[in-house]
Amino acid sequence: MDSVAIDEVGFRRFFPGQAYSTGHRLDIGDKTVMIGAVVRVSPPFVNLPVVYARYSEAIKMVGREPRQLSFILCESKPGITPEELCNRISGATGLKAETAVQFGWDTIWYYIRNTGIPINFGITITIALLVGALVSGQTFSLFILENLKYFGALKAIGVTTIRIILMIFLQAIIVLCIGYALGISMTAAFFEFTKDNLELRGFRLLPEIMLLTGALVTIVVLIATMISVRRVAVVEPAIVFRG
Amino acid sequence: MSEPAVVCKAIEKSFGTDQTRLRVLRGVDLQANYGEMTFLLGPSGSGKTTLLSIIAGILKADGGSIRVLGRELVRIRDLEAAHFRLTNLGFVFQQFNLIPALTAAENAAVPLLAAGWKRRSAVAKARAILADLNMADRSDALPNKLSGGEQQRVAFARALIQDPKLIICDEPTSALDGATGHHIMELLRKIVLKPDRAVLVVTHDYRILEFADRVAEISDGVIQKIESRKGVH
Repeated sequence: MDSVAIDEVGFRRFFPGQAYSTGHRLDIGDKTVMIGAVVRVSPPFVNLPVVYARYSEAIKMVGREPRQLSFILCESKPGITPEELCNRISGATGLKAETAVQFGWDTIWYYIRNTGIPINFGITITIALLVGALVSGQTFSLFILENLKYFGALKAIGVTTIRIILMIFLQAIIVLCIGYALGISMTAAFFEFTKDNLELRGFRLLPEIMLLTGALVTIVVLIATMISVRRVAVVEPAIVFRG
Repeated sequence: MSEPAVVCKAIEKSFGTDQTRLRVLRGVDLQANYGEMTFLLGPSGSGKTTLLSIIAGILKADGGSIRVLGRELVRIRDLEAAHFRLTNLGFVFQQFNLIPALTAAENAAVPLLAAGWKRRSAVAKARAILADLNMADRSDALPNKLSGGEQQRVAFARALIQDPKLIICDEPTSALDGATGHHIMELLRKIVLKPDRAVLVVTHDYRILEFADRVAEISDGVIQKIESRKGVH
């Protein structure tokens, strides 16, 4: 009986509640195979079981198809660069050959061009940003409105408008730092608590994402502050004498 | 101090344009002397708040001349006016306008902080002034924990902290009951008023007239009557 390797998610799906072990039988298509190994591998984007088998065995399991191969993974001999090897393969076979980095980007672009996933993610992020901007803008606007008489009093006392605006921006930056710290801490805690969850494998908090999020939140807060602060710039200090 | 603290001559001020133009002040003459409490009395819409704002350098007059503490204010630039107010004038507002998140001492210290003082020194000076106003034990209280009279005393401390030569009070008793208002005016007279300091009070509260050295009555943008009450006290 042929044997295959199966990833952890696949094993848990087919043999729920059992400890990882080999020797189990599994029907794939018309073939019955034996599990010879349970492997921990890089997570695919989708959460489907992945079975690893020799090419000759895989053909037997899925049957003959017009395009049997998606790609062949190969390694260059010492002294030959990946780019050079790619050129040689393309020259000799007329097929597309790519380095690991190029292949990675090709995969990303495939998802962007051919699936709705990036658009769905993009819409979610855009909505979150818009809602965040509206909520923070509205909150800041209310804060300014409620405190307008105090800003007027400060102006009457002799505090310059530019100084009051700087004070408001300082407050905004403090709120931004506290909010970002809380948000990113909760996100980090989520990833920490779910790091052993196989269903969520591949979800990681990358430093680049943290920086990008920080930049976006900063832009949202600064825009909200700039819109709100206009009221302070135009408020007349004489309002404090109007009761 | 050869000239009075405030000298207004033929002050004109209008709002609006063309058909909607409203002459609020029509050639107002007024002066406030050092060592005196000058009351500006008048009904709502008489122009007293506008005149107060012009004396404070917050609004600019359309015509006439105004000298405050020896400084001509008619053509003063906004930034200069702000600096002049910060360093020379003290304000007491009708609604106190204490910042809710700051303690009494911190509120009183605001003008010093705005003038660039270190927080510690500014708050220490504010505490000393609050102590003079019998508020030593309330220095760390937030405004919402203070009574109306206490809030007004904090406002006095804020007005006094730069040792200004002119204190401008806008309806200082209108948010207070009669007894507290009377007590606040006594405090104003005893502690705030000094020989080298003038106090200008805008009010329509006739109950506190007894504290005035000079009363100017304004109506329809014109000073109708000026009465000296020096020697009454």
